[in-house]
Amino acid sequence: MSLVIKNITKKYSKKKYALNSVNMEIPNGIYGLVGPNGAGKTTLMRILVGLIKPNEGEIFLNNQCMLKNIDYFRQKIGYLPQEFGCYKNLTVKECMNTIAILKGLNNKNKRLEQIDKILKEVNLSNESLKKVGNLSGGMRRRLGIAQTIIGNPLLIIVDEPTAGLDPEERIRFRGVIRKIATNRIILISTHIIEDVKNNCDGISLIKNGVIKQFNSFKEFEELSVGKVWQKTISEEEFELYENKYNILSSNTIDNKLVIRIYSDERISNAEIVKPSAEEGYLSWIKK
Amino acid sequence: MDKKIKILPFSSDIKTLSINIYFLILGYIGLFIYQWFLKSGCDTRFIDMMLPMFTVFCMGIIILIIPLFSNLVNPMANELILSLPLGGIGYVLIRVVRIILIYILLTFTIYSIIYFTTNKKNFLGHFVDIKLICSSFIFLAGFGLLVMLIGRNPIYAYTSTIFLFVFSYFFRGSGLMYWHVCQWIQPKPNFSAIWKLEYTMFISGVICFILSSIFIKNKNYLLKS
Repeated sequence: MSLVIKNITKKYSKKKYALNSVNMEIPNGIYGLVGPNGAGKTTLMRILVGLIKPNEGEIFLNNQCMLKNIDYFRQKIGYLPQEFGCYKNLTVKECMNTIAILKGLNNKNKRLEQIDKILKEVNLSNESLKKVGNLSGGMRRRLGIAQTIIGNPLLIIVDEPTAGLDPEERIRFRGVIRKIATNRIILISTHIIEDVKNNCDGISLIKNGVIKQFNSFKEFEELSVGKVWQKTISEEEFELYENKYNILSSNTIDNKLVIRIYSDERISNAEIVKPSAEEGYLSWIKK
Repeated sequence: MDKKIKILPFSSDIKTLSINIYFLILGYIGLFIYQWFLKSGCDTRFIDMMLPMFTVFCMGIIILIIPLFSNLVNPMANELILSLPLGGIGYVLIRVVRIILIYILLTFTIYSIIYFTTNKKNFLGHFVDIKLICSSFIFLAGFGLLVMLIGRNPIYAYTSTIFLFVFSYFFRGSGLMYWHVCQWIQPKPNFSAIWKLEYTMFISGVICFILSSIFIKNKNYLLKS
């Protein structure tokens, strides 16, 4: 199974491109889409779920053109947007039931059976009679992911799933995503590089509507190898370096300031270091 | 997955309406008690009871219909709902029809109580009023829903229907005469004119619902709310 995105272009005005001829090929598994705010991530996701029509391009899921028959494909796609604030007065089970009906699961017995199974999978069985509005942030996110699995979709799209979650919930959420990733494509949009590193099989970077695709996280990390420098400076010198270089991080160690800089050119008295994944990302978006 | 009409559970709709239902029922009970016990004894008791009841019932339908669909224009909720394959018949028509039918039943019960306790002689008028108020429900619900979707905000639905109501109630605009279906005020009611109004309202209401169903397909527009 694969998702193929061909030359997708979305313009909001004559000169402003939200997406500029985007091409991607995503195989089975978990795939991360990373980029700064306003890069075009949400636009791409909205196009994939049929909320926005692109100006140009085509999308194929399992070799079938999605844009020509989007109503059919809506049943084959699970989507968790950034905001999941609907049906707050319903219980978890009623909310799942409502979404299952809207997705076209008309057989009541099969539907309820599937809902019970999914709730167990995301550890929400004990909360099935709780109102959605009374769930914690983490539980609501898990409910969000649970509703995406209804109808056994081929493609699941998740927008900023771990934003605002504490580390424990984030780790639990990653586990849930991994559990449901068999035989389908999961596309996750996020700012959190750690989530992508620990969870995703492939990664794409998006900036100003243009995409760069990597087949592995290692390939992504190599993006800035040989370009990250570490130097110890005094606190007074910091402003000078900040104005001159692209500083990625700074830490005080033994009363001295240790800075890490992204630079294509050699920096005097600085040593070259292995970049972290986050530094790789930062150096790419600051380019 | 099949292509049958998707019928959402009625219990979910009632829960979605949440506190609105209780407010509405409390309003009716309060009004009824007030009219019944505090304004009794005079010849105009029937009119005294019918007018506010008519007003409250007409506005009540908006309170019941708008919250059912307000998720479509709520930026915290609409992205998920709009990404689902919503069908016009299951998502709009069936939900609206069953709420209106129950509401009509409630109206019919309360009107019957008023008629049989105040104005038993004019039994025909009872059905005329009920028929007219049903058309008002359909028109108001459809109009309110369409305005909410166009304006992408439920407040527009409430304010525009209240404005329409107040305007026609006080000024008796000819096209909006249905607000004065209280035909007992007239010595000789013109029933053919009333039917015409009723059909016009019914058809306008249905058109509003059809337009609303089409509007729901315009997901990009609704997402901007």
